[in-house]
Amino acid sequence: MITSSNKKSEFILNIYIGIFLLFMFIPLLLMMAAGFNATDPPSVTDWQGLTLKWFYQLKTEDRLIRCLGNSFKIVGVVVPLSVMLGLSAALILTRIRAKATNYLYAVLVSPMLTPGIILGITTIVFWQKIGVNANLFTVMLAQTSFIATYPMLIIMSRLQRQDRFQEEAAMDLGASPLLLFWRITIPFLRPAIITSAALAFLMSFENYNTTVFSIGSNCTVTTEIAQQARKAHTPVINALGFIFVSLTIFGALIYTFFHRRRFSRN
Amino acid sequence: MISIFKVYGRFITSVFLLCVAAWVLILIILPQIFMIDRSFKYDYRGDRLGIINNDLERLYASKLVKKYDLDFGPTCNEQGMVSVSMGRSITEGKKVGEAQRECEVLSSENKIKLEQEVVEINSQIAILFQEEEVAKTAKEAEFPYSFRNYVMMSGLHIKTLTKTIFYSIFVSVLALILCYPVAYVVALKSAPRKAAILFLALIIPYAVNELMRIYAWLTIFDVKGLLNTILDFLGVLALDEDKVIVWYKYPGTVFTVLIYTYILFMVFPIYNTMSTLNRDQIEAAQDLGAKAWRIHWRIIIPHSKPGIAIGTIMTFMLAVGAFSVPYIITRGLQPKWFTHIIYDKFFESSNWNLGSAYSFTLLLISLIFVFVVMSLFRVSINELAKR
Repeated sequence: MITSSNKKSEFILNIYIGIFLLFMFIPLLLMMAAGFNATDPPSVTDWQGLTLKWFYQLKTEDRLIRCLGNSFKIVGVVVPLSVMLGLSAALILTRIRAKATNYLYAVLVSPMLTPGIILGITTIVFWQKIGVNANLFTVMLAQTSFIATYPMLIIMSRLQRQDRFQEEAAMDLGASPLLLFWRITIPFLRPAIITSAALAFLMSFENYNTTVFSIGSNCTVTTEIAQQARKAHTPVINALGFIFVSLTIFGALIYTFFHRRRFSRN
Repeated sequence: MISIFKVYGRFITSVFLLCVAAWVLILIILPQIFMIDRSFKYDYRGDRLGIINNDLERLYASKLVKKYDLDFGPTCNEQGMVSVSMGRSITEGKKVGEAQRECEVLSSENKIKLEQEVVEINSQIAILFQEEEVAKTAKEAEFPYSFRNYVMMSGLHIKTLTKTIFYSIFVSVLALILCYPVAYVVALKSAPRKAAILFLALIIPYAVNELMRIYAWLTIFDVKGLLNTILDFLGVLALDEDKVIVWYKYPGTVFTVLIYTYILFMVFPIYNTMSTLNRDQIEAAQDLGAKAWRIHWRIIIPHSKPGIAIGTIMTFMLAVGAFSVPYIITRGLQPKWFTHIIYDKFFESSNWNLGSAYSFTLLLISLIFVFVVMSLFRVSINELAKR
């Protein structure tokens, strides 16, 4: 009797998961499909024939391409900076045992729990006072202030599993601190660093709420999409959406491939 | 402190300390202090300094126009109209070439007059500058801080804020209810292979650009979108006769998309804590005859409390600070969201002090929510972030 009710509840749960995933994917699939439809405004119900013209039109969107370039500039600074800050904070927080580190930890986690728009606002208010106007520079700093927290947490959780004997052995054998750091600490942390860099890339690239408050009159690809989407519903954005989603699926497949072990270990 | 210096040496350790100090001070603490400082300074534009600033701005603008006319001659458009600043216009219909020639003549006639005007403006600006200095020192002598920015919030804005908070609480509670079973299935109820596939299926929408996920809903909510077409097919509406529903008018659309956009920020924290639960505990409870709800209530939920807390905080924080979702989905057909009022204070009326006060209010509300959730679930901030 227990097994039959178990089966039933499992069945219901599976149906629920199915509906949940449909809810997550249907809007995305519709958006992607509309990118191939010849109608403007994009639609999936009013099918006017398969076309690739919106994809070709993407190449002529100069402003969008310029904004995309800005996005990559920002990512290029935010990712290394966040990983660097996160790594430093993780090492200090795990290696120094003092009451003060608890407060430091709380301060460093706080941006993660702050609404994104406020991080943008505080950054422009601060830099305007110094005499720097809102531009890509302020976006980089505003984004880093909260993105760096994620590398910190990821690297910290890996450091907590570190075997200190290796470092001690290297020290006893007379390795210089630089060599020790480069040959023992960094290789041990490599997976965590790669994961945090990937996460920082995603978060920086897709960030909107913090960016729109700290960018001034410049643009990134997300602020540009928002601007265009607010004004009108245009199939060119759908075509871009198709590219974004495809790249994401590709990236997620690679991620799962490298993290298979995580599931098989359970 | 000593051990880290011993292991990594003075140089590397100093670099770490410097990085963390810069992060804490330049990226977190100082910007916050500057914003809070600003929020307590009232920007009274009706006083002498405000009027002077206004006048200065006006004078600069007119000087710029006159300078432009002096340097490039008055602009003539295709109809042969001379710019208004010259105080003369030419009747339409004349040929462009003719009009241009006329412009050149005009500019030489009025050149002296224009130059005189610029000189006059310059002297006015100089006087105002002196007055500004006086007014500035007078203002600096006053005590700058007050609660005026906070007291000034109008009834409408308070209503918007309350609505935003109410919505966000509802979003996070609903997200929790919807996500708990999902996290449970992926973390505890699936064989490794199935768990990996489900995890992948959840990662994909999570990683897709937030703006794209919001934008995708336009295909559904448009007047000729999926929803109306289905209703048309069912005979409820008639698209051809303009018998349609404009979905963007209803707050339910923003609510749905908020849930859709931020729900996965609830799934992953719960999944992460839940998957560290030893399954033997569940089996032991089953062997001892515990009912399913009891296993959840006594074993699984207590174990995943930190994840539930962080998920609830994250979804609330994202919803209350949401700018993109209402920006795209309301299409101007619904009342403003609180974040948009803040945006307008900064970039439309450019009253940064008032805007700072509004955003500090929003920050305080999120902080209160964080503490309420933490004490409700009895978790500390240290547990909170270990996801």
